[in-house]
Amino acid sequence: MVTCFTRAMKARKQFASDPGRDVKLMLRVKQGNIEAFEAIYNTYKASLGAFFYHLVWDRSRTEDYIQEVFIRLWKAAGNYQPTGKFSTFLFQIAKNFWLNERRKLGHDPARFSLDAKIAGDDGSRFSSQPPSPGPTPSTVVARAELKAQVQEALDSLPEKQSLVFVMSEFQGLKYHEIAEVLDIPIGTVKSRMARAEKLLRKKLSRYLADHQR
Amino acid sequence: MDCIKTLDNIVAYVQGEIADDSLRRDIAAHVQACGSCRREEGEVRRTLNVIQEAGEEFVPSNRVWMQLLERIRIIKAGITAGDKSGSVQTATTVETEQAYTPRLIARRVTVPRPRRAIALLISIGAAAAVAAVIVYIATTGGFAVEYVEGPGLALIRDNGTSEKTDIGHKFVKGDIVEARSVGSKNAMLRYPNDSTLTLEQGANLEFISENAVKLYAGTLRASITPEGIGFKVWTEFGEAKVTGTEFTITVSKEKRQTAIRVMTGEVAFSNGDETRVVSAGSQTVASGNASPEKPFSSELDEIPTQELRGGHNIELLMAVFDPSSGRYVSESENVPVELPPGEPLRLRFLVRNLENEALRIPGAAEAYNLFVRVSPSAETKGYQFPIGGEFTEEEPQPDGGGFVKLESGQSYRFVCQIEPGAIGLVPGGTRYIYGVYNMKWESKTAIAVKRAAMPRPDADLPTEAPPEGH
Repeated sequence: MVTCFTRAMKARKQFASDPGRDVKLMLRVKQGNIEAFEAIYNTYKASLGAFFYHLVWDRSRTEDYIQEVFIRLWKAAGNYQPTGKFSTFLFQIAKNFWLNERRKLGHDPARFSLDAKIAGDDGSRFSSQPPSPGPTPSTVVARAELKAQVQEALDSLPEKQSLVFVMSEFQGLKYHEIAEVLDIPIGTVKSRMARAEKLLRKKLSRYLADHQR
Repeated sequence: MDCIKTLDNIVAYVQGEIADDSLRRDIAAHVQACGSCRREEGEVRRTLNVIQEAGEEFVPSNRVWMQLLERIRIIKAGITAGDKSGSVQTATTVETEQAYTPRLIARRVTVPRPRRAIALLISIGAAAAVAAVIVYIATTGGFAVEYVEGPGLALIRDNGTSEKTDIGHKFVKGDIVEARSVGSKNAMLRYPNDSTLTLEQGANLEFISENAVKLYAGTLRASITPEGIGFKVWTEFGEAKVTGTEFTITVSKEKRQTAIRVMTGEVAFSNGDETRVVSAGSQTVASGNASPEKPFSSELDEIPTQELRGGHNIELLMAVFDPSSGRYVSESENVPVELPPGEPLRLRFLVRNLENEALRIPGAAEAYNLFVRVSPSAETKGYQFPIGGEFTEEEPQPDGGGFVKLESGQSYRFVCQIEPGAIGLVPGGTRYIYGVYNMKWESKTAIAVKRAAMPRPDADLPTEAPPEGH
């Protein structure tokens, strides 16, 4: 079930990683321990899900990407050295994977998306489940419209800005964590975020004006 | 603090990313005092909020983990083969991994075409690699699970072929087995710590580690000794972690569902992002990527299907009064069962709340009526009896369950109070009811009917409330 991702929720959902625990787990993964790998997977699957989903807006591709990142992690475990934060290590794998993938997709991932921009894309459209009595048709349409506009606006951002924006606003990473993952100064994260916000606001200006409270 | 410096920091400020306390205080003070910066702060906040509203939480389905396990197994097999041939690099490439055919997993990662050719070339090598793993583990103190009783347990090879095994065969990590026994005989396996696994016909599982199996399909009954605490069963739609217990777990590929029933001890059952602890005498189910349902009592026995045929017909009708339309809406089940002629039976029923938030209508339904009709013939089907008028016995059960004597040729009405929320009405006329009915005879015969959503045309629905005072 898809849930709306509010700011308050984001704060709660920010993954609870324990750096010491992660390193211990990774050292066990290095020995081929599946249970430790599963613990890592369970800790980070939602965070990677938030990252990829808001870049591709496609549930099935997001799952494929999560799987690819964890396979890369498994393969890299043999060479893992507990020198830095594990989360940085993992998110760098995810970031590199995404940059490669984006290049392969010709800089327009949405074009290849099978389920992007489907009205009310919450997985229910083609399912045998009955429509939920919760949201009325008009709220479903409104949400689909919002989603399509936001997706389009995010797609229009330069790659560097969209990465920073998604990591900050959807994945819930702090600026200093983003700086570590992208290996850039924290000031650069701040300025990319500010530029991204400006561009997005401009792109969404009509929507924002139409929906003025 | 001036406007330029404030605006320079405004996005970070709204996001709570200004670490410096005095800078944050200065910005706050300036925003408070300066009208244009305050407007800008409001705009940033609004833009970010609108974008967040479009976002979604994303929790991958269990399928992702199952496929990861599959691929890791193949990688491991590749590494072992590589070690033996002295070419570790080759063995750890994607091609080796893809050489395996995960026949049990429906969806595969797409392999680029040139790699497929390589994959084909080395598929023979991969088969050898699996054999190598077996030898490797067996000779380095790995665990072994012994096949102790029951007919027809097959070892599934990576190339899709199978091999019949005999009692006494020891399975090791990485083996996939399938129970091909006929009839009621099940195959039993025993771990060195005396924990046992019983596989019903069609059950298909893989030994992942000494403490974990992956159940692809079918029913597995596990009896785990204290030494085996922490034992895990992974399925595509859930994961069961055991804290010393006896339980059964069933995977249904068709329903995309894992059901678990615990006889003793406790099992932590997870799916999606949620974990439910299922204790002795309880059961639950997880479908697709959804959270496991709240565990409910399973003291009623499993359905002995051979007794559910012929003879009389029992019709279950669950109806709920919808205050907005002033009508009863209902869903019914026809369950033909063997009813010994002339013998009164005691029927136990439970109606439970599926806790489906999406279907919850606040205040819509406080009381549910379960109607049961016992007809003299299996021919009686559908909604042939009017609500009210025919019911001869009523036993209100405040706890939502209870016993009543049923006699052939009679109809009964029960009123049970359960929490609101199990039943949903979809605006626009089509109605759905989610519910589970569990029924048991004193003789231990049971009917368990699980309904998913079933749209019904309005014409089928009773349109009048039953009269009061029955």
